[in-house]
Amino acid sequence: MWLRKYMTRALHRIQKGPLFTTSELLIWYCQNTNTHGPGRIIAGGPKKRTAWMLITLTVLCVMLWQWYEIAQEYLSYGVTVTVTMGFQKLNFPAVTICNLNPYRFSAINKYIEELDNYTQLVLNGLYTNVGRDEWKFSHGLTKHWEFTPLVWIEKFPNGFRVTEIVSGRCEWKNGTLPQVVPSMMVLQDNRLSQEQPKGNKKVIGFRLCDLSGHECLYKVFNCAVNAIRAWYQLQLLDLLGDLSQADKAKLGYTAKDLIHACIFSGQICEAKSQARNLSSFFHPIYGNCYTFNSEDDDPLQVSNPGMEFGMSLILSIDQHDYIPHLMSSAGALVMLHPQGSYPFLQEGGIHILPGMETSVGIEVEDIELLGPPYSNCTKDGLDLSVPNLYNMTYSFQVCLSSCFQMHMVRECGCGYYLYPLPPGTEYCQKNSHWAYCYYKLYNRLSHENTSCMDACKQPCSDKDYQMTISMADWPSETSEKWIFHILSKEKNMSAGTKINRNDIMKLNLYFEEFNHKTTKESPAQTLITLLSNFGGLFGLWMGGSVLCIIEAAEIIVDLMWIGIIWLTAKTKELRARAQNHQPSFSDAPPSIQQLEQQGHVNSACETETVPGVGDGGDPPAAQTDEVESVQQPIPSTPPPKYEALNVRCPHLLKCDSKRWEEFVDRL
Amino acid sequence: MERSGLKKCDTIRTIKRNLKLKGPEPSMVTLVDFYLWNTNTHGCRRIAASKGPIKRTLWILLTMTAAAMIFWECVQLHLTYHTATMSVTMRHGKNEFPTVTICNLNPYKFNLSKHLMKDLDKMARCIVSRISSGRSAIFGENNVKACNMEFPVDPTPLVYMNMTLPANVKVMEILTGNDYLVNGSLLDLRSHSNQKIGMSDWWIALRLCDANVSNCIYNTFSSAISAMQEWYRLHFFNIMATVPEKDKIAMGYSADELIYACLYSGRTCDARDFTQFHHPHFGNCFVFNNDSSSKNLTALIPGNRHGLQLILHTEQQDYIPFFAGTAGTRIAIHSKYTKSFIEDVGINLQPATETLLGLSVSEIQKLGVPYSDCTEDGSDVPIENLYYSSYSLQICLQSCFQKEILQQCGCGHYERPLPAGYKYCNSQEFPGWEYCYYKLYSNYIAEELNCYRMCKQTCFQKEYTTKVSLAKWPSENSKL
Repeated sequence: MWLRKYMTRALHRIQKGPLFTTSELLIWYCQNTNTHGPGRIIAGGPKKRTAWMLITLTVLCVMLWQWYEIAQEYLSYGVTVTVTMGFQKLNFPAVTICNLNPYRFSAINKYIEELDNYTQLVLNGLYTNVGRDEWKFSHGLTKHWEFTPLVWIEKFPNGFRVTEIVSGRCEWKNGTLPQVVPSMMVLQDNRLSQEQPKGNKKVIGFRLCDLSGHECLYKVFNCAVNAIRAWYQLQLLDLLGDLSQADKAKLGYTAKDLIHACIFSGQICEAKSQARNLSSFFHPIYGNCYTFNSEDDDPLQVSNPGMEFGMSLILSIDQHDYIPHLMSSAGALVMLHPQGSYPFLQEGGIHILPGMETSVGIEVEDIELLGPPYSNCTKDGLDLSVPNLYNMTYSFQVCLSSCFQMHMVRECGCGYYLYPLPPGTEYCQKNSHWAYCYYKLYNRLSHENTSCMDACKQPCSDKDYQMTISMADWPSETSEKWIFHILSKEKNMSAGTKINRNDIMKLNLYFEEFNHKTTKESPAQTLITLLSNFGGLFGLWMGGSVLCIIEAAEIIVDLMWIGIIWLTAKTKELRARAQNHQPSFSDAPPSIQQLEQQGHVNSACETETVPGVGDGGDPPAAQTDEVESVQQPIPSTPPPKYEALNVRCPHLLKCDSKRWEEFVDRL
Repeated sequence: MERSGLKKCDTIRTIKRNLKLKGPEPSMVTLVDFYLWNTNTHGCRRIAASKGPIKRTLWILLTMTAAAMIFWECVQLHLTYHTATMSVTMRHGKNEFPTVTICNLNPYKFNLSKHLMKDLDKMARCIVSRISSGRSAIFGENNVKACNMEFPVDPTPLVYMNMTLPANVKVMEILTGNDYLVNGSLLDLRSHSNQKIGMSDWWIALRLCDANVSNCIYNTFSSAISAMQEWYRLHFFNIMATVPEKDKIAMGYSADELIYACLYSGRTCDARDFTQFHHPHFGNCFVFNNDSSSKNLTALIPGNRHGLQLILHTEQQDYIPFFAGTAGTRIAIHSKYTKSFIEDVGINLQPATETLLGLSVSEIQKLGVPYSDCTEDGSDVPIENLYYSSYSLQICLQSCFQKEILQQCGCGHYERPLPAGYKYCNSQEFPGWEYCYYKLYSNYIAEELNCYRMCKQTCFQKEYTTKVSLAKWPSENSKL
C-alpha cells in the first residue's frame, strides 16, 4: 500500500521531469556533507573555489590510493609469527619403543632356514664361484626368492651385462637399464666408468619382474651389504606373508622381554593406572612395538623438569637372538609422538645404543597455523581427497602414506605392507611380483612428484619433540657385576648364558628446563585493523567517517534518479516531437528555471511527505524562503536555490526556521 | 497533533523573539532537533538534513549501525589489549660465555669412603646374592657365603611381596628371611594401583615405616636393580648425613683429578679457574666461569676451537659399586648467577668419547603482571630462598619442599640445602623419617603441595640449548 503510493508518486515524478538540477543537488550535498573538503568548494570566490576543488580532488585521490594499498596488504593475508617459550605443565609424550630386530631368530628359524641357506650361497657366490655348481644340480627354480635374484650389473659402452650371482646365468641388456629411482644416479653419473680403473666395475642389485617375467626393473646398490639386506627383507616379507599378524607378533619380543623396568616420576609405570599401561602394536619392520602413555583422553602430565619427574627405562634387546642377515645394527628404537598419532618409526625414531645410559631431554615445539586463507593447511584432513587410513590424528605423513596406498591398491590390486589397508583389500604377498608393480608405481610417483604431494596439505597444528640426547656408560665397571647378576636372574637365564652389556641399556626421558616452544601464526591485519586504518586515513585526509561515504552514495543515487527522470522526459519529448511535432504533455517541456520555480512553488512536503502534513508546513517554509532570498549572507554560505532545503517534516522545519531567524537576528 | 505542536512552537518562537532569548527551546523535540543540527557527530546531522521519511529512517538506521560497529570494535580492541606481542631477534654477536658445571657421576672414591659403608656394602652383597640365588634360598639355611654374618637392624628393608591373596599379603624381608602377613586392604602401596593386587607375581619393594612401625609404605619396583639402587641410595644418604662436609670433600675428586686438561679459546686453564662446591649426589663439582671470577669471558667467534675444551678423568675403577651405576661425567651449562640443578638438567658425558656441545642462547624477557604471571627477582614470592643463588622456579620449589619436610619430619632432606638450626635426616636421630619423607615426596611428585601455587616463573630467563655430537676418542693410532 505504502509502497504503491510511493511508486505512483515516483511515476508521477518521472512524467513531470526532475524537480531540481544536478548542480543544485551537488551544492546541497557540499553544504550539508560532513566530509570536510566539499563544504569549502562552494564557500569562497572562483579562485578559492578552484583551489579547494583541486585540493579536495587530490586529497581524495591520495586517500583512495592509500586505501588501495592497505586493502592489498590485507588481501595478501600476511601473517605474523609469535614464538613463546618457557616451562609449563605439559602432557608427557606417548613413547613408542621397539627392538630393532623384529623376530627372535630362535622362533623364526623354522620358517627361514631355507632362505638362510640360499643367502649363504649368495654370500659365497659374491666374490667366488664356490657353491654355484652345487646349486645348479640340487635345485630347480622352485623357491620364490629365485624369481628376484641378486645380480651383478656390469656396464659396457653399448649395454649392460647382468649376471645372476647364484646360478651364474648371464643376460645382455642393450641401451639403458630400467631401474628403481633412488639408485638411478649410480649408473647415470658414469660412476661405473670412473671406477673401472680401480677394477671395480660391477654394481650389485636385484631384479624384479612382473608375472610374465618379461618386464623387469633393477634395484641397484653400490654396496653389497645394503643390497643383501634389502633383498633379504623383501624375501622375509614374502615368506611370512601367510602368517596372520597375531602369529607374527608371537615370533617377536614381548613387552616383558623388551622393557625390563619402567619408572615414571618415581613410580613403576604399571602403577600409573591400568588405562595408561603399555599398548602394543605390530610394526611391519620392527615387529612388536610398545607405546607408553598412548591414551588420548587421559595423558600423564608433568609440571617439573628433570629426571625425577620423567621416565626411566631399562631395556633388554637379546642381541644373540637377532636375525643375522636382516639386522646389521643392534639397539632399540624409541620415538616420542603426541597421543593419538601414529608413530612413523622409520621417519622419526631414534636409536638407543646397548651398554649405555641414554638421557633424552625433551622440548615440545608446537606449531599453530591459521588455516585458509592465511596458510595452506588443513585442520583434520577431512577436506582432502585422500582418506585417512590410519584412523588417527591427521599428519602430512599419514596423508602421504594413505595416498600412496590408494594408488597401490588401484594399480597393483593389493596393499603395500608398510601402510594400513583400505577396507576390502589385502596385503601383497608371495612371489615378489608385487614388488615390480610397487617399484614401478614408486618410480612413477616420484617422477611426477605431483599427485600425492599436491593432494596432501600440512596440518594446521603440529607438535614436534626436540630432543637433547646425551650418553654415559651403563653399567659402570664396578657395578656391572651385581647388575648383570640380578638381571640374569630376573630374566630366568640358564646358568651358562649371562647377560652382558650388549644386551641392556638404560633410557631416561624427561622435560628440559624450558619445555615448550610455541610458534603461532596470527593475522598481520585483522578486519578491525583494516577498518581502523581506513578510518584513520579518511580522517587524516578528509575528516570523514563511514557515514560520509554513505552520504556520497546517497548523492550518487539521487543524481542517478535525476538522470533517469531527465532521460525519460527527454526521450518522451523526442518521441512526441518525432511523431506529431507536438509534446505529449499539455505543458511545454520544463526548463531548468521553470522546474526550479516549480520546485519553489511546490514544496517537497507536498510531493514527498504525506500531503496533509506537508500542507501544514508550507507557510513557514515560504516565510523562510523569503528571508533567505532577501537576507542572503554573502559570500560565506550561498543560499540553496531549491526547495530541498525546505523539505523538512514539520517539527524539524519549524526549528530550522528558528535557526534562520536566529541567523537573521544576528545579522 | 503536529499542527498543535507547530502552533506551540510558533508561540514559543514569538515569545523567544520578544524576550530576545537565545538557545534551544524547552521541549524534548526541539532539544533533540537542536542537537541533531549542531552536533559534530556525522550521522546525526544527516538525520535532520534528510528529506522524506524513508531517507530519514535510513539515516537513523545507518547511524545506529555505525554506533553499534564502534561499540563492537571497542570490545574487540579491549579483548586483545592484554595480549602481549613477542618479538624475536636472532643474532650472532659477542656473547657471554656460559657458566659450566662439571661433576663426576661418582661422588666419592670408593677406596677412601668404603670404611663408612662397610656394613652397608656387606648387606647389599648379601641381598644381591639372595636375589640371584632365588627366593627359595632365603627360606633355606643361610648358606649363601656373603650372608655369613650378623647385620644391624635395617629400618627400611627390601622385601618380597606376594599379592596372590589380597586379604593376606605375604611380606618377606630379603636380608633376614623374616616373613609375615599383612592385610591387603590396609596396605599402603606407593606406586602400585589396587588393580594389581591379586596378581600372582612376587614383587620387590622397599618398606618404609614410621618410628613405631605401625604405619608402613611399600614402595614397589618392577626390577630388582631399581629397587637395589633406591635402597642403597637411602642408606647411603643416611650415612652421609652425619659425615661432616670437610670429610666428604676430602673423599671426593679434586679438580686436578677430574680435570686433566683444560683449554679455553686457545689458552690453557687449570684448577684455579674452577670453583668447587659439594653436591650431595655427585660429590665435588667444579664450576667454570662463575660469578666470583672477576673477568667476564666472552665468546666472540663461534666454533669448536674458540670454546672450552676439557679432558676429564672419571677413574671408573674407584666407583662406588652400588651407588654409581652409570659411568661418566655430568655437565650443566647455564647462565651466570643462576644455580643449575645438575641432577635434573645436566648432560652425561661418556668415557672414551669426544663430545662436542654446540650452544645457542635464548633469552626470554616476559612483561610481568598483568601480561604474564611471573616475578622479577622472587621478592614477591612468600618462600625463603635456601640456595645462595638468585631466584628461579626450581629453587623456589625445592626450598618450599625442604621447608615442608622440616615442618613435618623435623629434619632436612640430604639432597637439599639446610637452613640454620636444623639437622639432616638420618635414621639414628630421626627414626622413621623415611616414612614421613616418602609420603611428602609422593605428594610433591603428584604436585599436590602448596608450593606449586606459590612459586612463580622468573620474568627473565636465559637458556642454553645444546646440540650434542659424539666421536670416538682417542683414535686407534693415538692410543699409543
